[in-house]
Amino acid sequence: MVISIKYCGGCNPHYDGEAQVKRIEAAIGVELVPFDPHSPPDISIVVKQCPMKCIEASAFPGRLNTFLIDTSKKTDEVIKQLKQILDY
Amino acid sequence: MMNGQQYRESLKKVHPIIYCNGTKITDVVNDPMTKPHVNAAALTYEYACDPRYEELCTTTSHLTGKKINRFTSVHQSTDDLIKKVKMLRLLAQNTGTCFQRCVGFDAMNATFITTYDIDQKYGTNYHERFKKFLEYVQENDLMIAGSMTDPKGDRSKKPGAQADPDLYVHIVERRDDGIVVRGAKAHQTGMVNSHMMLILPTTALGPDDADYAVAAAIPVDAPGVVHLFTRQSNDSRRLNCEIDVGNSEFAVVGGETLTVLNDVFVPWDRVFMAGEYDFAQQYVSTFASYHRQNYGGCKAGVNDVLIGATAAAAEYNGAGTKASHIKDKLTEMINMVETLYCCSIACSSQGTKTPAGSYYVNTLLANTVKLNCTRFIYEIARLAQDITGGLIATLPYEADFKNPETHQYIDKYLAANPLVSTENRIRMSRLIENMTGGTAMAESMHGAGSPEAMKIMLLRESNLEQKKMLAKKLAKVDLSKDGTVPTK
Repeated sequence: MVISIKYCGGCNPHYDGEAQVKRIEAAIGVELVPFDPHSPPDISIVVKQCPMKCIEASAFPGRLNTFLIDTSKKTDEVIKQLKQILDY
Repeated sequence: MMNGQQYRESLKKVHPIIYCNGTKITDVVNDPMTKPHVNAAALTYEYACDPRYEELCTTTSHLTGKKINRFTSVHQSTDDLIKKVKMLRLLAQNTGTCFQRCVGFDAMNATFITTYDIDQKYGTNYHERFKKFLEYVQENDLMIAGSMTDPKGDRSKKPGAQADPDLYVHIVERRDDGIVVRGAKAHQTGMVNSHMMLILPTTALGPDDADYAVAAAIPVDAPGVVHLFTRQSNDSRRLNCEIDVGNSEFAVVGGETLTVLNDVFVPWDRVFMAGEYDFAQQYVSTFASYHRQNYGGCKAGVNDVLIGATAAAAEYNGAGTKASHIKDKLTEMINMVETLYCCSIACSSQGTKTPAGSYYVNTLLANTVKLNCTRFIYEIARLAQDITGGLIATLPYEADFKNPETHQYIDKYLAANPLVSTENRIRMSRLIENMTGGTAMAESMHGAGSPEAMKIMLLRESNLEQKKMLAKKLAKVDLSKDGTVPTK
């Protein structure tokens, strides 16, 4: 199962996107890889770090699921869903 | 693409002749005078290799389809123009200063457009030549110094009428294999830590000045090139201080040169204009508009740091940020920064496709960015100094703070908020001192052109006749009795 991460540009972060990614990795025990448009992942996680509309999750799809984290609170929700998918 | 370390390694293979304060700099990566500027430029490489920032700092080459550093790209959409601004703000937030690479970025984009137009009129092949050069730049991830400004001499005289014809760069010889150029370029940002320079004309030219219509790519260490690294406020602090420098890792402004071209040979495959004087004005204004677009990105980012520093300084002083006058001043600083950013985003979103196929900014709005910058930066700095207090003008020396005999006095008498060490208070004050003084202000005023240059563009682009007609319509004036209406 390949789970990838795509960050927005990070020019105006309202929260620490990298820290949230590290939380996900620690929670599910899987290292997330950078999104590769030439090799779409099974699950894609898009990290949008401010209210501006700079990045669309639909532009970085996973074959099975695509998640958007746009606040630090969303991370817990995504972790819960990932655990269900990975059957933990 | 190179990362930051690879960029530093690549500079060791380039051997420019650089004079600085009476001696030569032979190692720009490690010399204390140039190291901070190398660090700032290195971040443009480092961030392109970081997944957190690749969305802004990389793109796809329209020439090769490969992933490249955005600084080596030609804009293919308004989205590219917007991402450029955001990338600049991101980098500026993390350097607190100029990271130099945008001048070459803008020069290459201006050259892409202008060479196409020259070829259309004259049947030359500059555009294909430039695309090959651009592909070389992209493949090797080079840093190009955009090199426009001539010393200019007597401003009342055209280039060819100067007492000294070398006060503008010009072609002195044309050969079968290339041209020879002579002159100098002033205010050259990032030159000493670039791989090549891209020279272009600095002013409109007439038929008598055809030899001054020259654009070419020249290695920074080509035979005949001499760089004089120029003096800037507080720069000698880098030689023996860390705290007193303020921003010790990246310094202030970009590190500029007066670069002399002593009969420098340029092979034809690196020449992109040679005598087509009627395109000089377009070349200049195209470059200038791309460069003015930037200031709502880079200066917004720099001032994000300054706003943060000012708010922190208020907390370190114990005054905090809750006092109404401090909140009001911080809000005003934010307002001005976001106004600059708005202007840059606007000129980018309203960009258009050129006949060459690349995208160009809205020139009216791009000039608005920079003209606002020339005013706002001084006011933002004034408010920062107002809130921080007079301490920034009277801080003791770092050497005295570190001296065991005197440390105790400074540590005791400059303490303020008990939750904050005196050293932290000093560090933040030094950052503000250096960001709001001297060269930093002058760069914001004159970088990308002086205020009058923007005003000329604003008046030219602004459709005053249409505005007058709007007013006359609403005032219901009788146009038959209005002798000021232009006849068609």
